[in-house]
Amino acid sequence: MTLEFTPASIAALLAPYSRGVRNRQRHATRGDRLRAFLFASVTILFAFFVFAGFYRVLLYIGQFDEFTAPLTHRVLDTVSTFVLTVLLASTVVTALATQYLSDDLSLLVSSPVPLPALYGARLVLTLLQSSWMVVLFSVPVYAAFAATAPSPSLFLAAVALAFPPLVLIATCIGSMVTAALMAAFPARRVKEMLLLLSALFVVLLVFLIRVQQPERLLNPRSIYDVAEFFSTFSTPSSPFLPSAWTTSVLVAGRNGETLPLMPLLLLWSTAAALVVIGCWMARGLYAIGYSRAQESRPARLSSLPFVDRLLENVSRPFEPRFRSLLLKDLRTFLRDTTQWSQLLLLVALVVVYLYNFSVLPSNFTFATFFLQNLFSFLNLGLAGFVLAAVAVRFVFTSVSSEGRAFWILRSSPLTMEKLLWSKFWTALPPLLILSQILTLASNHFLGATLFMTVLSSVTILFVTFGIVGLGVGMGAAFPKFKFENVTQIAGSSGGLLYMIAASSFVAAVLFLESIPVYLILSADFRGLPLTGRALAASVVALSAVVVLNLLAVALPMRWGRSKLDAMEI
Amino acid sequence: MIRLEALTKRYGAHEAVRNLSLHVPAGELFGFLGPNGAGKTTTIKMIAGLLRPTSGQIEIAGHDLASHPVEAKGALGFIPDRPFLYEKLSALEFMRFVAGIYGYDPGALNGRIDELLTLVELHQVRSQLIESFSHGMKQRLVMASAFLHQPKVMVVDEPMVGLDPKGARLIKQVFREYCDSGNSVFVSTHTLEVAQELCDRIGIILRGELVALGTMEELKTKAEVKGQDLEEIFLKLTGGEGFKESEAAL
Repeated sequence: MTLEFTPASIAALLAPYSRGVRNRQRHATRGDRLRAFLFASVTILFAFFVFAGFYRVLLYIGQFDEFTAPLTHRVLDTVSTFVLTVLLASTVVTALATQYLSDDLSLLVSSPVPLPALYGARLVLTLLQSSWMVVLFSVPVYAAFAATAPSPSLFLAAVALAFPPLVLIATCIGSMVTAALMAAFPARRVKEMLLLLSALFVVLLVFLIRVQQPERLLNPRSIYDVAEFFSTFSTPSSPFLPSAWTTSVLVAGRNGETLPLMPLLLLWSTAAALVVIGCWMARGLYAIGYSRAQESRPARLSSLPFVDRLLENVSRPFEPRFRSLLLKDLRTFLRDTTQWSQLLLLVALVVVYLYNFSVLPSNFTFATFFLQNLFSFLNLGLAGFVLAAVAVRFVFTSVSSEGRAFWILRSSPLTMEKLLWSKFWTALPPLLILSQILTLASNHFLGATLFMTVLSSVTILFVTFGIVGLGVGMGAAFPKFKFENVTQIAGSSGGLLYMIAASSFVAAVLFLESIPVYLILSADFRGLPLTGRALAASVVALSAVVVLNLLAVALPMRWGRSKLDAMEI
Repeated sequence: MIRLEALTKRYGAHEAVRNLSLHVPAGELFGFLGPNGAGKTTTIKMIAGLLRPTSGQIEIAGHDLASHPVEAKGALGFIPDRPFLYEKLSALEFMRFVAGIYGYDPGALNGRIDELLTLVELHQVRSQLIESFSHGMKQRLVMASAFLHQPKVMVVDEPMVGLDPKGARLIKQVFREYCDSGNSVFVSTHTLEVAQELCDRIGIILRGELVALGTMEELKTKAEVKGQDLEEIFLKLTGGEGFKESEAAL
């Protein structure tokens, strides 16, 4: 049987994936179902917020007759440009995995499958993997446009005709860029370069969106606020850009006009042409790129030898077992682009977090004594949640990141208890620094009292111990040693359970601490000393906070150790 | 050096290893043979502490593995069939890491690390990341690291997988010398020539049970085979004589 570039041949080559999905559904565990439920709930909630935001903005725009048409055009153009840009960035990275590095490719490339059929199947796979998130984001956006359009069905028809070719064009161009890069550079270098660029892209996007203060759109002071917000994201529009063709079809559909034929023809013919050109390119370049992807060139050691020397010297005072694990973990982290590039996202998160406090209304610091302290106290919860989100990525994954090399530790005289405590003490210092920066800086922006600042700082110190203990312990109780990318570990059902446990822990600490905080602040506000009863209640509640934090470290660590001890590999 | 007492491993209703008892004394190179799925790797993983026996006892250099795992594992070196390693470390860093987790100051073992890396012919590439190594190079690195802490017992699963003839020759030589100096090797292999050439005694496992144990001469007598070929003995004892029919079907 020969497989040509036909839908049937592509479906045949994709069958292992579709059957894999079906088999996973059939054999789904309770954890899988829980994860699917949580994921669906979060997605629906997110989609609802996106829909509500756009619906409100569009209703607002609709009030100003002379501005409605150009602004709607601007917003639609922004969405199309956003879709095209994000898809291009995401496809370039996805195509590297699906078309060059996937394990099953060795079987397919060595079999008599014609390149066009292989390219077609891999293009579909790339399209599905790189575009699902953008499509999910687009659904509520276009639903909001449809809901506010004179003829919703015409607008939806316009979306159905103009959106798919835009996605296909972006996927084809992204795949072609990857093919060219793979033919020119070594696979390892391309992978590192693309991962870094995609992380930088996300950071840039986060900054760009946050700095424009999207919350203005919920209560715009003037129509110029909306215009200014969207103009920031719009690149100079060119009639040669596929996003401009999509926009013109969507604008016509939104206005209830006949859909223009020319841009539709351009979109579909360009998409078809790019599929064909991609096939030709695959004939010429795929073999070269795939061959390069198989070559194992000597990998460079750390590009920063002084960092290596620094690590060696700093870790010298520690006992050999802890030192070995610490050095191994740090070196692996710093040499793995998929891992250290996440630090860029972490920095973005911290900056955005603090920026949120810095742009609070200028009269906020003069708010009432009660409000000021309430916000400062609630900020503790927010900081705790941010810490948990960071810990699920960097602490919960620490045991699983041993990967398939875990046999080395299990067959050595190193006890699992020592391993877990080593992971704990390695993760604790950076998280302590992060938590103190978040709490002290945000309290400064909030203009919190000295009492609240000190209380927040001490509480978050304890909470960090708990969050790290929970992370290491639960990470050991739900290990995932077989993974392609460390981020998959954080997204596992164990990772979700950890987030639930860590958030509940932070909420419990806040609840217990609210008792003494209320009693002390009330007494302070009235200018009276604490009564004996209030003092006793405060001491009991604060002691309970300390006990809760100790338990949050001890219990998960013990659970994780017993699970690892009993584990068979 | 290695003592297995009534070792059993069950996965649900399936018994992978059944009531296995044997003793490998000091200085012996013991070969563990069996067809695919016979229970060789399960036994090896139990000895290395990666799997827990359902029942029975494992003793390594006089230490009970269940009650004194740290001492038992400290006396053991393990070479698995698939060398999964920390890909982002260099060969030298990996050796130092292993020294550390066995409780040694890596600096104090620099000389021994150099000596072992030279022995397995990786000294030239000691500063390269493991991710750029071939399967055979990784296997040789695992071997060097397993000898680093001078264990009394070496447990090896399929030692020849991925090795070139030179590497295979080196391994045979190293194992022999290691046993001659009073240590023991427990090796599982499919390569019958290796077992025949190297091993002092051979155990054959079939469907989780030890069906034969002894020197080549003893096995020959048991299998009632006249020739000197271990393959013939192996096929007779494991019921694999029907392979000619399978060959014809291919």
